[in-house]
Amino acid sequence: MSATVRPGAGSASQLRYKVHKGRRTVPGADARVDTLMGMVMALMSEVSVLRERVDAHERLNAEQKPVTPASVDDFVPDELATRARAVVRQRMIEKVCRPLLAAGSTEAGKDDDGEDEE
Amino acid sequence: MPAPRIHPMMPANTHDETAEQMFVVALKSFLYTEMDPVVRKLTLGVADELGSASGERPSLQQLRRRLEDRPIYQNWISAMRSAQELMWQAAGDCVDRQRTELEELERSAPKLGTLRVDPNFVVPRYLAATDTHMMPGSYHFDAPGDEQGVRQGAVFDKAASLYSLGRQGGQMNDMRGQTVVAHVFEIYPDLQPQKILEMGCTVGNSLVAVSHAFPGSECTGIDVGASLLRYAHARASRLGVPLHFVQANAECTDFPDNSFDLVYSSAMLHETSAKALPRIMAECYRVLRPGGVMVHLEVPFRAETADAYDLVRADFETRFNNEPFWMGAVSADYGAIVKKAGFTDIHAGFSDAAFGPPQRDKVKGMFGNENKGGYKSWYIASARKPRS
Repeated sequence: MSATVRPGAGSASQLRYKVHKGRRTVPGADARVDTLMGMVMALMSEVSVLRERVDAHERLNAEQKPVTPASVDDFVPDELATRARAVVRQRMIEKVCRPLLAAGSTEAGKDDDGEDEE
Repeated sequence: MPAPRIHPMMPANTHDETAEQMFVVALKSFLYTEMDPVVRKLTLGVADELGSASGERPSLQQLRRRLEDRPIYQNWISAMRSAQELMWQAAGDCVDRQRTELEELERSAPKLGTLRVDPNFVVPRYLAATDTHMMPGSYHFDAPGDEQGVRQGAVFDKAASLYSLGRQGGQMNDMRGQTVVAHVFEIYPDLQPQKILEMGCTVGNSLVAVSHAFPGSECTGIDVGASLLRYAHARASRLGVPLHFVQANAECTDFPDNSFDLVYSSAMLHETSAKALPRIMAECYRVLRPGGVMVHLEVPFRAETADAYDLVRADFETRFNNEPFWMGAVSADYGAIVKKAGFTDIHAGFSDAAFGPPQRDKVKGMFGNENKGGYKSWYIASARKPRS
C-alpha cells in the first residue's frame, strides 16, 4: 500500500531470506491452525498499517497540505497523533485476539476448580 | 521529512514501515502481558496436579506431555512465533527497500578500525542447523554476492531494537555491554584492559559501549557472518569508534596466545552447544594474558530455581524460537566448567542491568545473588586467568 515498491520474490538465493529454517510444527496441533494464525496476524499488521495511512491522509488534509504518495510516505506523526495511533492499534489487537484470550482463560480456569469460569 | 535515523547506519523507515514495526512491538507486548499470564495459570495448575500425584517437582517432559494437547498452549506457541516472524519480515522488507543506500553508506564510511572476513569460514553446525531466533538466514547466511553487502547486519540491528521493546538500552541496544562494564568495574577494579575481545559481537552494539568505557583500548569483535560484520564495522565507524571485526568461531580463533586483557560475551553462550561451551572457555583461557579477565553475560534465568511456567517459557525459546542451547546454557554449572578450564577468582551470579554508562564509584552491590528478572538483571559468570 506504500508508494514505495516493496521487495518481491527475487532470485532463488534471495528467497532464503523468506524461510525460517528449522521451524518446528506445533506439537499436537492441526498444522492448518498454525498457518491460519500466521495469516491472521499478518493481515492484522496490514490493517494496522492501512489504518495509519488513512490517519496520515486525514491529518495532512486537515493541515491543507498536499496529499501525495510521497507526502504520506514521509509523514511523521506528532506526539499527540502517535498516542492516538497507539490507542487505535491496541484496541484492534485486543479485539482480534479476544477470542484467543477468552478461550485460554476458560481452559486455564479448568485446572483451578475443574469447571469453566464462564 | 522522513523519520530521523537512530544512528547513521540504522535503516530508515518510511511511514508504513514505522507503522508496521510499531504494530509488531504492540502485538508482542500484548502477548507478553495478556497471553503469558493465561498460559502461566494453566501451567502452574498442571504442575500442581502432577506434583500432588507424585509428590515431586514435575519435569519439563511431564509438563510438555500434559500441555501439548491443550489448545491454549498450542495457540500461544503459534501466536508468539507469528509475532516473531512478523518482526523479521518487517525488518527484512525495510532493509531490502534500501539495500543500495545502506551499501553506499558502508562504502563511504570513515576508514576506522578493520574488517577481516574469511571466504572459507565454516559456520559451526549448531548455528547452521536452524535459523536462530527464527531470523531468516540467521547470523551467517549471505546470498551469493551479499557477503559484500550489509543485509543481515542491518536486519539484525533493526529487529533487535524491536525485539527487546526498547528495554535493552533503546535503539542503541547497548545495555548488555554497559552491564559487562559495570561488572568489570565492580569485581575486577584493578583491570585496565588495553586489548579487549568480544565473542559473538553481532552488530557491535555492546562493543561500542565497552570501547567508550575503556578509552584508548583496542577492541575486537568476532562473529560468524560476513555481512553482519561488514554492517557492524560500518556502524561503529559511522559512530566514530575504531573497532576491529573478524569472522571467526569462538571455539577456535586465530588470535595468538595471551593476546587480550579482557574477553567477554553478551548473551552468546545460549546460542552455542554443550560441546562448544567448554571449548569456548578453553579458547578464552588461551587468548587471555595471565591476569586477564573473562566475563560471560547470559539471560537472567537459572533452571534450578525455575518454576514450572519458567521451564515451559524457556522450552518455548528452545524449540519454537530456535534457541537450541537455551536450556543447556541456563542449566550449565559455570563454576565447575570455568574452574576446569583453569581459571581462578570465579564469580557466578546476577548483576543489576546498567542503564547507561556505569561509573566506577556507583557499581557497588550491583552483582550478587538476586535475580530481579528480565531486563532488570543479567546472569554473569566471570573469572581470571591465573597471573602465573
